[in-house]
This record gives sequence, C-alpha cells and structure tokens, in this order.
Amino acid sequence: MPLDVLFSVFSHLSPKDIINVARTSRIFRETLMSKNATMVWKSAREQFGAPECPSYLNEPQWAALLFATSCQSCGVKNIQTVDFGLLRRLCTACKKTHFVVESKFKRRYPGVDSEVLELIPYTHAGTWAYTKKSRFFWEFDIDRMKNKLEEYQSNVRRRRAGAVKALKVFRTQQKEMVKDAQETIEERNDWCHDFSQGRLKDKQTLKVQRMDAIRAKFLELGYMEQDLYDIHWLPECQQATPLSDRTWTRVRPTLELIVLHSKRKRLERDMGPIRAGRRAIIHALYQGYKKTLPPSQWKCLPRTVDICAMEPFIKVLDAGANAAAHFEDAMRQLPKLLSSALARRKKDAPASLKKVTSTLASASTSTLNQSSSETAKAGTAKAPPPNPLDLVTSAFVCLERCHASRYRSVFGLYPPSSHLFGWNEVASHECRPDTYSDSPCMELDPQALTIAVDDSGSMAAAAIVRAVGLDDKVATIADMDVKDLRFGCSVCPSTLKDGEIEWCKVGYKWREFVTHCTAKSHAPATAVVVLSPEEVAIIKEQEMKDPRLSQELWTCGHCAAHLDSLQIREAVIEHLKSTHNIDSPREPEDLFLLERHRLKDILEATYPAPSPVPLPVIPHARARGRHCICCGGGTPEERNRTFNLRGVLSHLAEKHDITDPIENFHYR
Amino acid sequence: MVLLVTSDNEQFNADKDVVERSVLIKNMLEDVGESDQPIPLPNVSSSVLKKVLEYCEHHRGEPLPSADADQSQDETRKRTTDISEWDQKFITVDQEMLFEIILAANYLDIKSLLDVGCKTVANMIKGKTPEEIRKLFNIVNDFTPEEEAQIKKENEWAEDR
Repeated sequence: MPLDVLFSVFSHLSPKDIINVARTSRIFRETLMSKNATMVWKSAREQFGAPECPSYLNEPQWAALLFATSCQSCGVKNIQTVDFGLLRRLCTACKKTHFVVESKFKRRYPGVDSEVLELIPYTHAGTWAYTKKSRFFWEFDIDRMKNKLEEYQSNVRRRRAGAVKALKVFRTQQKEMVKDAQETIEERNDWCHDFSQGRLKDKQTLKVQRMDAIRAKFLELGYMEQDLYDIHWLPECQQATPLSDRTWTRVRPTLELIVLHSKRKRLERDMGPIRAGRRAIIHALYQGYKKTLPPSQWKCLPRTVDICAMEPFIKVLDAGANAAAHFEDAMRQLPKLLSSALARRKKDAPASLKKVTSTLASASTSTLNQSSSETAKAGTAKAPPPNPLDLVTSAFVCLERCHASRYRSVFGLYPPSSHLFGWNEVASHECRPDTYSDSPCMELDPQALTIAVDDSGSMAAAAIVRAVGLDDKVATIADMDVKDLRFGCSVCPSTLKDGEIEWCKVGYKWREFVTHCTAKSHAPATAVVVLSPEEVAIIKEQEMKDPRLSQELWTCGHCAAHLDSLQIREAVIEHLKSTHNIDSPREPEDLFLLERHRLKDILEATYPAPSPVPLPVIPHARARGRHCICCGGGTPEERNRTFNLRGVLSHLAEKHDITDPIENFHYR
Repeated sequence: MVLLVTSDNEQFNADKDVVERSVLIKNMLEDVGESDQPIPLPNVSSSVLKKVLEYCEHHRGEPLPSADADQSQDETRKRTTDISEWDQKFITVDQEMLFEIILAANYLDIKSLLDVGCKTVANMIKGKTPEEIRKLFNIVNDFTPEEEAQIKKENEWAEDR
C-alpha cells in the first residue's frame, strides 16, 4: 500500500486509533514513528484541539500521553488522569511503589547530588494527597538522570572538548523542561478535563445513537415503542459503538426474545377487557346450552373457564373484529368438544383400576372364603362382568385441596366423604371455582383436575363389601347404595357426646367408612362392624339433621331449573311436586346434592355403645417382645426392636401417627 | 465514448463524462485529444474497473474537487468518517476488493472514491485494540515481548528519544 494512501487512511483516525495501529507490527510502528508521519499525528491531535506538543517530547509520545488510557508503567487499563507535572499517566499502585518524596531523597540515595531533582519532572500530587510543600519524583527518572549526569561529569573530568558546555546546555534544557511542565499544568489539565467531558458526551451520544438505530430496526419489524422498554439497559444497547449490520445480526436474536415477550404482554394487556367481555358471552351461551341437557349430564360438564381454554374458544377470545363468526363456529363444535373432554377424563381411570383390582385379588384370597357361599350363588347366575368403574372398589381421590382430597385439613379433621366412587362421581367432580371473571386482568389458565385411584380406599371398600356378604369383584356402587346400611368402627373407642351421659360411637355410611378407615389407618376388615337395623334407624333419624339438607346445594334431577342457583332440599322437593308431579322423590334420580366444596359443619350420627374397657395393666417383664409391623421397611435395629404394650402404642402414635393401632396389623 | 483496457485485457466502453471523474484519464484525454485509441490501465483488473465505473456512473455530473479547494476540503474531509448510504453499500465488499478499489482510485486519481475507501478502512480500525486490528487485517505480530512491553511505555521523554 503506498504511503500516501496509508496516511490518507490514518488521517481519518483519532490519535488513540493511530497509537493502536502503531502497536500492531514493526512495519506500522516504523512507518508511524518516522518523521514523515509527524503530520498524521499532528493533524489527528489538532482534530481534538489538544495542546501543542512540547519540544521535549515527540508527537507519538505526546499523543500517547494525551490519548492513551493505560498506565505507562504497568499497562493497567482505564487510567484517566495524566500527571502533567510528571509527564506521565500512572496508576495509583505504581505511584505508591515508585514515587520518591523529596524529603526521603538523601536517605534513599546517599551520596547523590540533590541537583538531580532539579533536572527531572516532579509533581505535587502524591498518592494520598496534593501538597504544595512536597515534591514527588518518579524513581526511574532519578536513576536515569543520575547516570546521565555522571556521564556528562565524567566527560568534564576527562576534559573532553565541549564537555563543560554540553553539561551546561543539558542542565539548562532539563530545567526549562521542568519549568515548562510545571507552568503548563493548569492549561493542560483544563484541556484534559474538557476532553474527557467531551469524550463522555460523545460516548453518551454514541450510546443514544446505537439505541436509536436498534429502535428504528425493531419499529421497522412491526414492534411498538413500548415493546422496547425492557432492552434499554441491556449491554447490547449500551455500547458506545455504532450499530453495524453485522452487530445487528449478532444482537438481534438476544434482543428480539425480550422484545417479543414485551409485545406479547402488551397484546395481552390490550386484549384483556375484550377477552373478559367475550368470556361473559361464552358463559351465557354455555349456560344456555347446559339448560338444554338433563341435570345428570350437565353436572358432569366442564366449567366455563375450561371451555375458554379449548381451541375454538381460544380463537374466539383472540379473534380480531370478526369474533361473531368464531362464536357461532365454536358453539357448533361445543357438543363434540364436551364429549371428548369427558372421554379424556374417562380414558385413564379403567387402566388405573386394573392395577388396583389385581392388588385386591391377592389381598382378599385369605378372607374371601368366609363369604364363598354367597359369591358362589352370584357366580352361577353368569351375569356379564360389571364395568370396573361401577364397582364399589373403584375408589378415587382428587389431588386438589378439596372435599375429595386425601390431604388432611389444618385442624387434623377429615371430611366424612373424601373419596369419589365410580365414574358418575369422578365425572361430575369439580372442586375449583367456576368463574368466568369479567375482570380484564384475570386470565385463567385452567389445568386438568388430577383424580387418582386410591389403593387403600379400594381395599377398605372391598372389606366393607365382604362384610355385608357380597363379592368385592362384582359388587357395584348401586348394590351398596340399595342396601343403605350403616357401619361402626370396632377400633375406635366409645365416646361421650357433649352434654350427654350415654356412651356412643359414630355410625357411617359405607362411603364415609372407607374414608374413616383410610384416614385413621384402621385395618378395614377388622374394624368394620355392620350395624343392626335398630342402630341404623337411630342413625338415620339423626341424619335428617344433616346441615347439607338445609343448604343451597340441591338441584332437580329432571330439569335445569336450578342450574344457575342451587336450592335447599325442601325447595327442590317442592319444585318436583309442583313441576314434575313427583310426590315422593328419590335420590339421585329425582334430586341430588351437587356439593362442589366441603362443608364446615358436618353431622356425625351416633348410636349407643358400651363404655370403653380400660387397657389391662401388663407387668413390664411380661410385656416385652412386641414388634412394630409398620417399621418393616426400616433398619435392622428398628425391625428387631421390642416394646412392651404401652411402648409399642406410644411408638405407633409418635412415629407412625397411628392412634388406634390393631394387634397383628400394626404390631405383633 | 472512451475505450478502456484493463490489466487482464478486457475492454470497457464508457461515457467520457463518466471516466473523466478520474483525473488520470481526464488528463490523458486532454493530452491525446479526440482519439479512438484505447486507454490502457495496466494497474487495474477488469473486476475492479467494473466497480470503479459503477461508482463513476453513479456520481456522474457531480462537481469534481478543484485543486485550489484541496486544503480546506481536506480538513473537513478528515474530520468526518461519514459515508453516504449509496457509497456505503457500494463499498461493502470483501477486504481484498476494498484494497484493490483503494489502489485503483489512487492510481486513477479519483479523490472521492479514494476517500470512501480510506474512510471505510478507518471505520474498520476505529475503536479496536492492536490485537483486534491484527486479527482484522491478518497482520503478524513481529514484536518481541520486550519490545511490546517497551512500546506500552511510549512516553520516555527527553534524552531517551
């Protein structure tokens, strides 16, 4: 490349850029350090209005002093201050190490003439403070000057021609240099200050320009100003370099992710009120549709919120101006959507039940013999096998925190019926609020309910079935409901009711007994007691006071009159009489309880029971040798540990949370 | 029309007012006068001349920098590295072609094109560290470590110069 072309390129560069080029290779260094290149440096310096280069420095040195930003001793970067007295740009660490204060000169350089200090530059700005009284020198300047002076003086001593004059000239030049450096400090510092301010301003301008360029690019791509708020302070936008096409290609993927996210949020915000209005319309249309169905069907339908999350209704909610067309289309697809939603819920249930049925089969072989005669009779009829989802043993729990949940409540109480039995209960279960909120900011994201098979519930149900003389493999929920029996718990002790003196026990419906056994970890086969007709009669009488009967949880089983507002049982019975001419309605065909959430006040019907027998006091020595069965999976020490009776009872209560343990089940 | 012959013997016909943006060609035409003789350009290849003619064609009719205005124009030119949008697109070529264009502009004496080329190279250098510049232009670092350390001190004043 011809020199003039090279210099033409350099003429467009700042002194700092030229310094960097000069540091790339020997050829560039030699070119730029040659006298020919003086004009390049000079014109670059003049672009910035920098002070004239003093006679004791050359242009590249002067440019390095003014425009470079690293320590001239150790090379550490970002050193913004130049010490013009010392004619150096130095970092604090180097100053601390290599500064020599005048007062310590004699001690540090014994025997050296202090004239040396008059010939080298100095500063009043020490490492810690600025003080006019002290002069600080650069250690290497002292060494160098000492050697130089010795050289001159040696020439004088040897009486070489012109040596005295040379020494004199040298001294004068050096003193002038020091004087000039000191006299121009203020002027040069002012320029430096202005320059750094200008540089800061330039930097800011460059940053703004870069951000403007990025903004323009995104606006061109169809984004809006408010989508760009989150990228302003990102390093990609805060660099003080112009945005080239290459840079844009590099930074775009990172920035666009954030911008796109902001855009989505903006659109969501803008669409909020529109969506809320549309949800209200969907809700009204959906309620209208439900009214065309019998209650046995609409009670199993999903909520409006769930409907809104279905594809055709998402389209309705997100549609532009022509949403009306989408409404019609979505409503046309509604029946199909509902049946597939139910099918989805039904799909997994039988598969999960198969596993339970096989577990039950192995568990019940030992006890089944007891009821073999009745089972044999049922077997001879060769009735078709019932649907697994109709069996009593199809016990499910909802994993949401609701009345069908397996979770304990905060007070350690258990709801009387926290299991779901059979497809009908599973299908109609919905414990979450059915809201279609018209609040613009409320965007619901419905998740499918998690309803799972409960093994221990199925085992407990099987034990009850066997206790009433049915076969747990074929007994259906309807079979058990028809029997309408009540059950007591042999494990639970008799209690005294508040304000009464007679001992009693709680009588359970079969569903409630399943939950009781699983919640209390009772062995159902041992615990179940089928109550006598007299006891059942006492219990049923109390059940008439069930608070649920007087709460607005009931609906007619023949029409949609109570779809929007459930009623108390009496009101529904009245409705059945007046509207459907049914004088003695039956549950659940004519009316049914639609209990979405657990009630706070639960009635516990009781029957008279004998007073509890206190535990016999067993001498300590005789009592030893009891093992905890529940520790079967523990360490060998735990498995082999022996207790007396009280010990094992306390252990079971403390460690396994079993307050009413059963011998040979929890311990032996 | 003027006939130009490149180093690889390719011939280009171009309008006189287009080629006259090159001071070299303009002077030659003035010296030779009206002639059908082709003008040989031994320092310019056909691919480069094609680019140069594209530039001249686009800037046809624009005033040429006058000799007496050189000094003041140079000063202004130096202070800015802005390149017009068209020129920027035009000069977005690979590095080899960029330097070829600069050399051709220098040889043909097309000040404005040379300026665009130099500004482009300057823009490439701006804000880069020595290492980055080396990497950009494939420059070999032939300094010894000692030399490199010394270079950084660059300020040794007074008699050590």
